[in-house]
Amino acid sequence: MASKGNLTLKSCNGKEFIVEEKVAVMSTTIKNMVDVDDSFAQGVIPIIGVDGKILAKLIEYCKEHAEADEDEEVKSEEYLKKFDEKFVDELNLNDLYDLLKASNYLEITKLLNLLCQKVASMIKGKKPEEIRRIFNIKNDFTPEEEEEINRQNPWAF
Amino acid sequence: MDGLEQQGVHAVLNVDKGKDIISSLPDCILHYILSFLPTKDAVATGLLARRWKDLWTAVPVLDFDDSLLYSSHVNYWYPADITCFTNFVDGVLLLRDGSSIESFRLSCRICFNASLVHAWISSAMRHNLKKLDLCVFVDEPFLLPHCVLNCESLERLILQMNSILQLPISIFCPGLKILHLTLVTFPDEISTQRLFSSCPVLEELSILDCDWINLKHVFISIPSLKKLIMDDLPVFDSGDHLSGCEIKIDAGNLIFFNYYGYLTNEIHLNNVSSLAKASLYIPTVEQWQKIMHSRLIKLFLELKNVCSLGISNCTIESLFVPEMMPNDLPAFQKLIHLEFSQQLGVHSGRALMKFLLHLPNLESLNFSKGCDPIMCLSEDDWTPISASKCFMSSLKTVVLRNFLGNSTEVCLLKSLLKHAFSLERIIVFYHRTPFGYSKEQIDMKNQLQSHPRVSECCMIKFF
Repeated sequence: MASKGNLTLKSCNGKEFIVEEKVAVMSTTIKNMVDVDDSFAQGVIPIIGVDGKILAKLIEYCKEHAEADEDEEVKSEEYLKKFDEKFVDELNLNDLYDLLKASNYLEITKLLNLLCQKVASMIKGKKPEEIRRIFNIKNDFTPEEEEEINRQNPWAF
Repeated sequence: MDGLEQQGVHAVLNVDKGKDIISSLPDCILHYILSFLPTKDAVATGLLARRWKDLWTAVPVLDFDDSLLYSSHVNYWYPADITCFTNFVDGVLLLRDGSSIESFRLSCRICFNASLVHAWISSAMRHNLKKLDLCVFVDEPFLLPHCVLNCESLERLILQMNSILQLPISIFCPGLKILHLTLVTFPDEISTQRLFSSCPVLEELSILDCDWINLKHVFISIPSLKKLIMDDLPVFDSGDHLSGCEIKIDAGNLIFFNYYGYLTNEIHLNNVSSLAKASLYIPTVEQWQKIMHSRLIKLFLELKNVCSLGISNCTIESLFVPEMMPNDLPAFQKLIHLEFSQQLGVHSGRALMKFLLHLPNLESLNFSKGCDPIMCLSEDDWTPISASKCFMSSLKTVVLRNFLGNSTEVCLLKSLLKHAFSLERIIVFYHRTPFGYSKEQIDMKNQLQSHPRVSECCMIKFF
């Protein structure tokens, strides 16, 4: 059991993490669970659908940001910006998707923003062909459908 | 938790190379991703695959920037064919589904006729718009659509426009929390006052480079206001006469005030007892030195409750103009945090020592841009700091950024170590170069760390 001020988070594949409460409540979902039901604060909080690897990444992110909220002088905005950049740059596509889903479910707004911005930056200014290649998207339009779209919205593309 | 975290890192993950996972993400995440794109790019994703065809019609953020649409072929000599931009905006708004629009941004570098812009804004406003951001250049006075300033859903309005701000007769913005006005010319006193008094929950007001020339006196009362940012244009054509508008601001709940400018307008903050944080950046203009000094002193008197103050070099120098001693400058009893927003120079260093005498309870001193490298002051030059006995007994934290390791910086820190007997920590951030740390930086670090200090518990940390 976690000591006072700490919470225990359990991933879907059974990995347990003991985390300071201020770090865990960066997630609105966890915050609501703890606020509503005191037994969560004592026992183990199951994090459904998030495996140990992704949960560890989430905790790494939240820890850094929770500490920065506490000590502005050392962990300045500039420091956090660099941390964020490095954090998303090191992710492969699969981790990026898993983190997106997890941060959406856990309502970690700052992280969700960061990840969506990262994906957006991979799309921005690129041609459809390039975007399909980056994300392995299969073009399932028939040539007729494609022509139809272009004909209907000549202003769009 | 470190040990446990390690276990987690080795968890198994299916890595499916070549699989399209992004398309299987729920609509809400994809909409969110698209909302970080210029609308041009968001619309273009409709061509990717069937899954993406109509996603863009419900993206909660619309961002139209004309420069993106004709960046490749526009120049001064051959004006772009603006129809591609107007058709695009028309098309997106027409095909929009019924969902709410969270945010609508329109940035046009090329003059449009006002009726077109008018129609676009009105169309966006029908979708429960929360945030409207307009950056438009118009060649005639632009009347904001009546619905913008009479809207229940609107929470944030950002308006950047090089023209007279024509305001409707009736204004009521019951939900507006943030208002930023840039480059607009206020039309007259009555309608300007009407605008500000019709926003009952306004919390943040920013007035940047706006023209007050049509106004002589204006009284702005916004009881809900928490944050006020003003940036005044210099007025160069009025010789040695600094007229400007007299702006009286009454804001009983104001917490944060930021001013950048030449004090061309005379600003009075009335009834601002809750003001806790202020930041002033006021350049010096020699010919107006006297009048600026007197306006600055008046402004400072109204800041007597602040606990955190950010200040630029010239601002602090203007406070202590040699022939005009600020005898009436009070002691700032509540001020505990002082930050220099510029490199500290020779004159501002001297002015700082005088200013410190007025700050009996200062706990933290932050040189956020460090010291000017050409400044050359010895330890004796910094000793007047010790004259302020009470400040020396309250000071706990000093932050110095951009540390080069020169003697001025070291003398400053040594002087603080010698006199500040409650000092808890000094945090020094190195000036970084691609070549690592210089010999001076390392030598001076060692020298400082072994330097005797009156406050035994004081730590010096280098980052």
